[in-house]
Amino acid sequence: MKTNLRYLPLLALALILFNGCQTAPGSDPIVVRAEQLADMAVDTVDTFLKIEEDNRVMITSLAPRLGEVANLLRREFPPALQKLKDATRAYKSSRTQDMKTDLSTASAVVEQLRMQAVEQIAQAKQAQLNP
Amino acid sequence: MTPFEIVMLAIRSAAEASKLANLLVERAKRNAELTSEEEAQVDARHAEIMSQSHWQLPPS
Repeated sequence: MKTNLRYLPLLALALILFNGCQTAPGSDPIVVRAEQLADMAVDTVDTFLKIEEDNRVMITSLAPRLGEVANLLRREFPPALQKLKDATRAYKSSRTQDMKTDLSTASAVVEQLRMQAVEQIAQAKQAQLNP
Repeated sequence: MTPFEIVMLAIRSAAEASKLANLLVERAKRNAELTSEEEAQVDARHAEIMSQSHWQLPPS
């Protein structure tokens, strides 16, 4: 998957916001963040893919890039999410530094895909409201 | 696209944004690791969401 530098400021902001939240006693912040990210990413990507499917004809002419990103997410998001869940479970069972690194990497991939969905939802709204 | 369609799309987008906001608030209240049971529930929810037609690649 290609890393897109445009998403880095948003990714950094998301990480700062996540880091700012206090976790419950006994909970590891990296696990809590990863689990929250997985759930939130599914909802965000779901929202975007639904918008794309519902408006495919119009979007194809007004914002073709949106369709490309939707298909990229259909291909890449499910395996990335699975990797994140696997990495989360592996880290929860062993709590080693290596597993923590794997979890951070898997989280970054899912967050980057989620941010693509967020950006495309904004694009879709703009295209719909300003045809 | 007709004005009616534009209005309907705007309403739908606002509803989706509101749904997302509510989910975020709900999750922000609880910052604990999931239990195995909760993990299973979350997995089932994700599987259900991702089995819907809009998650499938369109025919080329």
